[in-house]
Amino acid sequence: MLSTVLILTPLIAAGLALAVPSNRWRPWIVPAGAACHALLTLFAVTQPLPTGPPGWLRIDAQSRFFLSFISLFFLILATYLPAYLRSNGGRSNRILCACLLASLSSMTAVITAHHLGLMWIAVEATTLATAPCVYFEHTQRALEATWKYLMLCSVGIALALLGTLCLAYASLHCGLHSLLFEDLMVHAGELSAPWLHVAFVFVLVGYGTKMGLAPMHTWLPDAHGESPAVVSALLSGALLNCAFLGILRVYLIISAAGHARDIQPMLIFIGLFSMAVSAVSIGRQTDIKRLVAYSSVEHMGMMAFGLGVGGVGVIAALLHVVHNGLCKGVLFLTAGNLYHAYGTRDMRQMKGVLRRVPWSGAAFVAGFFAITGAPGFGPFVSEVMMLGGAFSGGRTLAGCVFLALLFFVFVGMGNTVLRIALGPPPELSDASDTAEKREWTSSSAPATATHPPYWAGERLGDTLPAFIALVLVVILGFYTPPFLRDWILMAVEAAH
Amino acid sequence: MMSGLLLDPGLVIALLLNFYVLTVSSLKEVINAVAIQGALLGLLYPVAHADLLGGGHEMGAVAMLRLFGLTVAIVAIKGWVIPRLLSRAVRLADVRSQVTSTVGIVLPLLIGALGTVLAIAFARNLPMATEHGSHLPIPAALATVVCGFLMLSTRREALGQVLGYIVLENGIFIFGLLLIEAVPIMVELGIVLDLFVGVFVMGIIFNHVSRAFPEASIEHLSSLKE
Repeated sequence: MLSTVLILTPLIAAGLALAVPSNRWRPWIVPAGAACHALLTLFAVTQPLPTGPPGWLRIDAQSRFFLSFISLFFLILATYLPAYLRSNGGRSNRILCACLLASLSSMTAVITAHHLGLMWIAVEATTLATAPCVYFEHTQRALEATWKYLMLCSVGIALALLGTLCLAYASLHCGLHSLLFEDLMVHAGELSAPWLHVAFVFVLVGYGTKMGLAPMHTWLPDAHGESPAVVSALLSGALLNCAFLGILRVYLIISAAGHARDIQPMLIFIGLFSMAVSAVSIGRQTDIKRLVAYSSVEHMGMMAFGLGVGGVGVIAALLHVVHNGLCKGVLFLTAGNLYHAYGTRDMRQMKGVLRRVPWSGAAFVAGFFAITGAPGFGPFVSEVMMLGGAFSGGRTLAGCVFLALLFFVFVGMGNTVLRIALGPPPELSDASDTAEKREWTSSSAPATATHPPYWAGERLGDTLPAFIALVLVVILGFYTPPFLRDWILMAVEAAH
Repeated sequence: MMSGLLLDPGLVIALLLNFYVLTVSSLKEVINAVAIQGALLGLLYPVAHADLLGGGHEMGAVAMLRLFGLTVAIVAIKGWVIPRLLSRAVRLADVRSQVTSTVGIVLPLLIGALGTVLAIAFARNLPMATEHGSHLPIPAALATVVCGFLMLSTRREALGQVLGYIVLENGIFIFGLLLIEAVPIMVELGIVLDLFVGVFVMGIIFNHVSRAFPEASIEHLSSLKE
């Protein structure tokens, strides 16, 4: 009942966003809808976990953890939206606002779906709801990114469906005839083992595509690069995690069946491979949002790695959902401000960020240190836990490779970030000169410069959401709240 | 059992249609073949249902009506609505009527044939549930998925890729035929609807693609490189 209300509330807000005629006031519906959703979530997650016969929708231990994070994260992003759209010019935001709210609704459905078939439908719905958001700028490049996103994710999700059906077939063998998560967990031992393995391969490739694991990640940098900053942050911090939940649920079923050790090498390999792809590509990026997008590939790889090493690594992977998500919020939201301040996403034309946009620039640099695992920030905690899990589980080689890749990503990303952060900013007054420069570099520049005219300096609305996320990341770096630890432990109970 | 006699030949026709779509180059014929395959699978749905329930099992009137309604819905969506949408897109976007492959015709056909053989070999290693008499659905499903994947990865045109995606979905649908009891009705409908909406959205984007580029070829969509 409560989960139905949670799914419907953002949908109603989306309908409202479609109906409101004012382009100026419409963006405020998104934070309002997000706030309602957050309040309902707060109420829902403080309820005791349900017992008794499971329905198709249910807020179980896994949903409680993911739902509270996604709802909070969406609220932070939503408060940034009005300021972002004001700096972005006069394009109609009707579709964007409605689709953002619809994506919140479908993500809630993914998280609360207790029936794996229903969860699959909801994941497909998130793709369809976010595709128009990616196309917001209506440029040829945005069109190309949207096409890739739709095509690759739809194919990926189709394979995930095949995996889900294999899971159903595995349950047919013991006469269970069910795709309800709890039924599958309880009867995990009786499920047909070969079919479980086949199911996991398809689910990993399928939801892995949506999650951005290499080598199925090719849509991710394009979609993140071309979409508005809010949408990039939403994709990176929330949507990828929903796909991760899909993999996690099947992983838990296989763990409950006692076959976790068979699938763990696969997860470790795909995780390290994603990190390696990111390490190779991240240093070559010239577009600021593609840079952060490759960092997402890396961190999704880490989460797969965490599942792969098992034990404390699984807990770390879930903790990393929160840490990585918040860091991506900081990075993408501030990257959006830098884009507006410089009128380009090309980092070769960004100099002296710390002086031109001191607040956003500082938050971006802090976010960079946080995401690359500097001590004192949240990701450091979960990365150390993953390493601990790897070494204590006897996977020394994998642990060493993990550590080396972390270092390479730090160097690759740091090189670019520090170069744009320091030094004097380019002259602002000489408009013709910058225009000329733009033309001169346009053949190689990934982002064509458009509209600094709408940028009126940093305001509270531009920077506050990123700083809220940053403060949370710093707090989590020193202190993991007991309730968060308990929720994670309960969510991954079956993996031990 | 009569239904067992119908299911296997139906699946064989579906498999043959896979090879047909891999070789034919006229866009119109590919759309028609995919429509026929979709409609055929829709018709196999009640057949597979009867197979699972067994000959002696009596169906209630409500269950009968539901089955009938669902069959009509699947045949209509897979065999009529989606192909119509695609044909409309072809007409409006004024694309070339030929589909072209990046690697020619022979290679995909060979890989498709190899994939079918491998699918049969692979499926032999997987245990079948006792109530399933026919051994064909699983290899047929996997082979169709492989063919859809081949079309997706070798076709140059945006529309050719969408058709590949539909073939892939058809493969998954064949697998779904085995699971009529495990996957309840709402999920099945949701799956068909998702496919429908997915193709619809792709159609809209495709229209944008064809407006932005003279020919809606994926080769034009290659400015986003490293």
